[in-house]
Formats: sequence, C-alpha cells, structure tokens
Amino acid sequence: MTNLANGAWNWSNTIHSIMLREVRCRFAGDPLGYAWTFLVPLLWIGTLMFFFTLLGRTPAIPVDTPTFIATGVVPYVLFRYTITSMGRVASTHRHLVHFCGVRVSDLLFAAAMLELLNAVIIFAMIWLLISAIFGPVLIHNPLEFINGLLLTAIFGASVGRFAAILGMVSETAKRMIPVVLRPMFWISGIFFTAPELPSNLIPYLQWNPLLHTIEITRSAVFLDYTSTFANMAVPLGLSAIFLMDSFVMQTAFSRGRDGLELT
Amino acid sequence: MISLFNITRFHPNKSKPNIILNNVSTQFPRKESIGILALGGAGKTTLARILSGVERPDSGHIQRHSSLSHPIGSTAGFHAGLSGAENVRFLARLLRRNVKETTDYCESFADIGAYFHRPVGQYAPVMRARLGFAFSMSVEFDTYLSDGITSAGDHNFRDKCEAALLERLTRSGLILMSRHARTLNRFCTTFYALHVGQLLPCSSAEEAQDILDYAGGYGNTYWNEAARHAG
Repeated sequence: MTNLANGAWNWSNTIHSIMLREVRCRFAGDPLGYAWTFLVPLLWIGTLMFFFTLLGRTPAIPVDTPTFIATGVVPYVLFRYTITSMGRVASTHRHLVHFCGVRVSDLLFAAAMLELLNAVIIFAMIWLLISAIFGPVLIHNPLEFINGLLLTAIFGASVGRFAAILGMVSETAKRMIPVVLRPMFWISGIFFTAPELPSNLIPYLQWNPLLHTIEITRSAVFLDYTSTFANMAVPLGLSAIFLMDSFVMQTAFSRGRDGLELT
Repeated sequence: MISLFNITRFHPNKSKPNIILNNVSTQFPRKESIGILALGGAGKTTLARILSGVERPDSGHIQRHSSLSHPIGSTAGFHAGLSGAENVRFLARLLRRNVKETTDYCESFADIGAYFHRPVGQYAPVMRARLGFAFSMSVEFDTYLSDGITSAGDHNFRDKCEAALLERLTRSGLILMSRHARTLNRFCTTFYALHVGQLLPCSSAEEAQDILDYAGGYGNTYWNEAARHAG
C-alpha cells in the first residue's frame, strides 16, 4: 500500500512538473507569454459578436449574445486546445522520456489536465467580464455545467491522445489532423443551437459529440433552454472508441517515427 | 545490476531488416565501469536508448535493479526558451532531487556566468555542453550511462569534467560506449566489443580494438558472418 501511495505521489509530482514546464515553455520569449491562452478565446468571442452584430443575428434563445457565444466558444476551445496541446507536448517535450521514467502517456495526460484547468480559468474570466458589463449572470445548473465541461474534456483528451499517437507514427497524419478538425468550428453549435439545424442535417450532425457537449453546457447555464437533442452517450461512446483505438495503435506501433517508445 | 536477456533490435529496411542487436544477453554489475567499443553505426546509441528504457527491444527484456542516469552530457532535455537555471530547476524537480543544491552545483560547475540565467537558446554550443555535463554530474546515480561523452567544452573544462567523472566513479558504475579504445581505458575496467549485433566480452580495450580491426572495419564479410553465428 505504501509503495502504491509513493508511486501515486511520484506520478502526480511528475505530472505537476510537466504542467509547470508547459506553462513556462509554451509562449517563452513572447512579452504576453501565457496570457495568450486566455486572450485568444476572448478575441474569438469578440470576433463572433462583431459578425452577429454585422449580420443582425440574435441567439435563438432569450439570452444576451456574449453569454450565448461564450457557452459555445469555451467548450470548443477546451476541445481544440486539448488536441493541439497533446500533439505539441508529444513533440516538444519528447526528450523528457530520457529522464526518470517519464513516459509519452504522462506527457499527454499532463497536457490534457492543463487544458482543462485553462478552460475553467477562461470560463471564470469570461463570466466575470460579462457579469461586470451586463450584470450578474447565474449558472442555472452548476452540476450539469461541470458535466458538460468534463464530457468535452474527456472527448478532447481521447481524440487528442489518438491524434498525438497517430502523429508520432506518421508525419502525413500529423499534418492532416488540423485540416480534418477544422470543420468542427462550423458544425458544433458554437453560434447556433441544435433546434435551429435543418432537419436533413440532423441525422449526420447527431454523431458530432461536441455538438452534444455544447448543448449540455448551454442547457446547464440557461434557465430558459433545455436541449432535447443533447445525449451524453454520444460523446462518451466516441471517447471510448478513440481512446481504445489510441491504445491499439500504441500496441501495434510500439515505437514512433524517431524510435521513441510509445508507452 | 542491469541484465539483458536475449535482446534483439532491428530497424526496418526495404530489402531486409537492419539488425542492430542480435539476441544479446549479458549482465552489467552495479558499481562496475563497463566499456563498449564499437564502430560508428554499430548500434551504440540504440543500445544506450534500450538500456535507459527510451526504446524497447523487438524481443527480449531488460531488468534494472539500480538507477541509471540519462546519457552523460545530454542537453536534449533543455528547452531553448527557458534559462539554464529554469531548465536545471525543472529537471531536478522531475528527478526528485534537491532543487537548490542541484541549481547551485550546476551554476558553479558550468561556470558560464550570467548566461546561466539567460535562455538556453542564446547559448553558444560550448556553453550548452558545459551545462549539460554539469547537470549530469549534479545528480547521483548508481550507474552512469555515456554514449561516448566523458567531457565537454574547452581544454581546461574537459579536465574538470574528467576529474568529476572519475571522482563519481569511486562510488558509482559506468556504461560507456565509444569508438576510441583510449577513452575506454581511461574510465573502464570491463570491456566489450559491439559488432554486427553481438556484444563480445574482451579482456581489454586493446582486444576489443583488435576484434574490430580484424573485422576490417565496416566491410569484412567473413567476420561479420562469424559474429552473427556466435550469437
């Protein structure tokens, strides 16, 4: 039991150290440094608000536009950043596997944890900002909100793990991953709700896990919106598939392009 | 003690696999200084990576009953955007060593002045090498691993490195892989020749050199085949 506790303590220290290093390294040399992680989502929200105003569009539910956009952008940012970050750490910190039993899986897990933490901070910042400008905004169902965010994180980490291992095996696949993921911005409900979708698209888009997690998040935040579309089985099921595939790939290709152990 | 059991490692090739290690079994005792002589491209780095667990053999397994260092002088773990001090602090934390002691030791040993607190990306190669070696010496291991590096930097600093390594070898072991018999003689007491995937025990570095000379460097087919069958 003591060995197990020691092992768990050492492992958590390793994860913590990798997270700290990633925080220090990601924007090393840039005057704004890690603040970019929090600024970019704010800029996205600002850009989307600009286009909403330009096109005279209003949210389909009776809430203010910034809050509506924020409930779409934050889960998307969590999903997308997790994938990008996991792919990056597998490359930039790969030499750490030379030290004291650090494994590729540790690097990936640390990246996923860091992105979840970032998303919580981003959401808190946006919420404070919106509350300061438009008055206090309450989260209708905090537990369901946490559920939505965690589902997004789990899905992002599963796809991120799959993409990172794939990227370590094939350079072509590594380059293709961002291209394949790009449409997710347009089809995941960041600036629309599921009931607004044309009925002929629903059979296809119901397989998009991110659309479900964003719907869950919105239902949790807004008192006046309950999504009949959201189904947490979709993100959970597809997460399990991506996760299993990543482990199968790890076993099938025991070493990456540079000969590094893929454990 | 580090034990290798029937280790085989090959690199995939279009025509036939390039065999780096062919069914190698041996034991490296904890406090012994092992020298492995090999020609360029014979598999020194692959063996070092397998020993340290960075690469997995295609077949066979390794048992490690003592702590093994990262390759001596390696600067691969340093991030160019972080200062030398930050890099050392981070790696010390990762290796669960005393952060302040390790940082102080590295600053004093590397002796690169104010550069220690500047980003590693601004270092000249020799400064980076100094810091890499300093960090290797700042952490105690049961066995040190070297892929041919036993010192770094200019003449005076090389003497300092070799003295530090020899002092460390009074209480730790070493697995040193090199192309030069003289280097092995300086640090090692047990010798092997690594040739066509075989780790051949030798009584001295000169014998290991003779084996490689007799093999005719890279091209003696007869010896290559004989060594393959010896495994």
